[in-house]
Amino acid sequence: MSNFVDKLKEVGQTLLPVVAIVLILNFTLVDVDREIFIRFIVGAILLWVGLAIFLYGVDASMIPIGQHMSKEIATSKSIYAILFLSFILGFLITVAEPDLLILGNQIQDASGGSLNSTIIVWIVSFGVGIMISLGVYNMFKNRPLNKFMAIVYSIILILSFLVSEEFLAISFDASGATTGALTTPFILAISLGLAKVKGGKSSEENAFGLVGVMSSGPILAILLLSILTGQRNIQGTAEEYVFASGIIEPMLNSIKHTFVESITAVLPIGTLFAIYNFKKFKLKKDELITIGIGFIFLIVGLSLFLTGVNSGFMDMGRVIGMQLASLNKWLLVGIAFIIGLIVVLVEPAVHVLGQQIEEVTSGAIPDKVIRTTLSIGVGVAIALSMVRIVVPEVKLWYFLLPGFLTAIILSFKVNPIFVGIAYDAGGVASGPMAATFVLAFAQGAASQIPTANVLVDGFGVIAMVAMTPVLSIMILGMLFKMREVVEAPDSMMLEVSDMLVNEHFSDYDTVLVLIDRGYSEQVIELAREHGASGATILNGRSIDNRHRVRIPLLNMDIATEREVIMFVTKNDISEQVADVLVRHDELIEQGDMAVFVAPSNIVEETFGVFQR
Amino acid sequence: MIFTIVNRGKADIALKKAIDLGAMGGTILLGEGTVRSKLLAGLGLTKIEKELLMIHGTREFSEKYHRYVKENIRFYKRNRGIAFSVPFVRWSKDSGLHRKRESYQVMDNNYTCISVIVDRGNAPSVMDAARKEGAHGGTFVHGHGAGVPTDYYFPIVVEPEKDVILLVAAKEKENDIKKAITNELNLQQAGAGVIFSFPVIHASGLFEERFSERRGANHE
Repeated sequence: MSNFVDKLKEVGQTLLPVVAIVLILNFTLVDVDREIFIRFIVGAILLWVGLAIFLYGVDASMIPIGQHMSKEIATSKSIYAILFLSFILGFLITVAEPDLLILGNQIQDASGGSLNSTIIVWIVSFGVGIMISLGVYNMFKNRPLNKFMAIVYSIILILSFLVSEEFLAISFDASGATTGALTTPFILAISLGLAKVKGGKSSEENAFGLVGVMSSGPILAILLLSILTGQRNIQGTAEEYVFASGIIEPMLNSIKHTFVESITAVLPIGTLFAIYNFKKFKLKKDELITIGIGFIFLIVGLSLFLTGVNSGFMDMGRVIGMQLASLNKWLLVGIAFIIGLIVVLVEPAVHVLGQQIEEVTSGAIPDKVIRTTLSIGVGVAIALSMVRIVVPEVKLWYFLLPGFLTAIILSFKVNPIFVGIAYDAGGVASGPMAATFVLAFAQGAASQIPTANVLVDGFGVIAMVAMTPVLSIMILGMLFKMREVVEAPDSMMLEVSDMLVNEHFSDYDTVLVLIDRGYSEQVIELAREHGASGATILNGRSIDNRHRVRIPLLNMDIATEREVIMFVTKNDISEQVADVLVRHDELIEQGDMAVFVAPSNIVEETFGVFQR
Repeated sequence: MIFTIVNRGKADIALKKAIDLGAMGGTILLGEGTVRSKLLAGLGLTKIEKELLMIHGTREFSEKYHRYVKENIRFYKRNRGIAFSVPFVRWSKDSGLHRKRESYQVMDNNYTCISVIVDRGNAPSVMDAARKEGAHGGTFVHGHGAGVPTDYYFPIVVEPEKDVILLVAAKEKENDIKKAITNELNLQQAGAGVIFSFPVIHASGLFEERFSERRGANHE
């Protein structure tokens, strides 16, 4: 239970600032209808509980399913099976995404009915499927992600010259709609699972990037659709917006609606998993029960979360946007920045991404740093979107083009793990909060500015939210690259003597080798040559006070990623292995290796395999 | 080597304190614990995220650290964490020559650290088996074995996933716990898993101690 309480606490901490800023605005600058205000408060509570339940459900169901499915992909013996299964996963997870259907309907209306919403959903899902399978193939071929994404974005750039600005904005919005509350955690899990199964030195950097690859699918699909059908302009204006009235009624309506949506969204992946489990995985009953309960948490949590957001946050966002826009244009830009800064942290996928980064790097890239970077990115995105609404001369591509260009250039300079995280961050940040609260805020503002077009300026906010985090994480990667080692003064360099025991404990020893990440294969090979068998490798992070690793600009200490390698062997072997290792100057100098030995008492009958 | 097990996010604080007390540094691993409640287990809510901090230091440092922990962190409050020291020797080029080869003696401590390595996913069963014999909780860390090449379409190197469990228990229960785990998970079979244990020279925050400390506190 403490885990659930932790989740509540974690979500609460990210939600509180959002509630606080809305309350402050309500008491100062903005005058909000009482019903909307109460719905916001109730919505915030639903969001809080719903998101915590949802994240629990992700842990219990999406992550294990992602792992089993990715194992299935990786251990295929035919390339066609690999490509097909990746395609199907990408297609199924997207086709049921509720946000995408909403966007499809919007495009259908805007195109005067000449583009059918069902066709749009299918084409976008097809695009996602193709990109996922290309991304998986790219990873297994050990081709770097930065080149792959540079090519993808070059194609997008070329295509974007052939379409109207509206369609460019719509294509990015489709990408934002696709990376929803459910799809993003699932694809993150698949990505992590594939990287784990693939293993090897680059497994850490392989763990990220698939969400980024996936989010390019809808952009390409919509751009091609526009070019091929010749549909260039969207017509009409947004309908007159009607605020919901009442408190209970809109919420009840919404919960029914979101419940059905949540089930629909979960169904395809659930079915696919059920088929594979029946034919292949045949999981143990306990595990299946956990996954099943996870699904229930997922659906309930997602319904509550979406209800809270849709009925509580959308109207509030709109009112704040409208009133601030008519109050003062530059105040609007400033508050937009603050809202962007804090709202992104409530996005479900941000929590999942942070957790995975922590797991993969054993905490060496702290969650806090990633969140702060995302915050700044989205804050800038929303502020710039407001600038675009306020100043009609400023076009969307003024920001998108240089932003992505810089990100692509930086992607060749930073550590590969940041490339994957950065491209993922774009999809992660443009989740349900961006699609509702932020979008409503922008549309509200646009409705009060005579030169703005609610429809056109509304589309494009998501595009900004999807771009700036990519850039900001790349910049973070550059900062991490500037790390420097601060050596402690000599007085602290005392060599520690040992915690010696005179008593000899048994015929066996446990050897622990601590070394920088990436050297374990070398250590194990050496140990095997000298008689050790079976080793277990654990990942961790180390802080060494004698030479601290600092990032100068952030004035922050960071931990080094380490591996802990464990052997259990007879005394003579362990001593020999330890002797060989401590004489290996290369490993000691480059990998900062330390070797520890402790007497151990083994349970003989469990050591069968170790003797051989 | 001092092992400190705390809830996720607290290891950095403990390490900072240890550095203030004179430690050179430390290594943090992400681990998990489980809760005992049957009800929660049925709901799949069994995971507690933990961190395992490893600090190397002298016997004197270990004493200082445990004293500090006992006085200031008050581990006896439920689920705050535990700390224990295992006599790992930092190996140097001449360690082999100096290693004492004296006969086994009973040491002045009441605890032992039992370590079990099993395939990923079996850790909760290990802890259940241990609990039946009177162990109080345990922590496991996900790890993997050395890579084995495969013949799949892409030549991936499969790294068998493992869980490494650490349990600290009273010495008199050691053999029963080991036996229970061995039988429960059929560890006699080759490759199923291994059990070994280390002497513990200092410990704080253990259930038994917590219990007596609390009782002591009540008497005051």
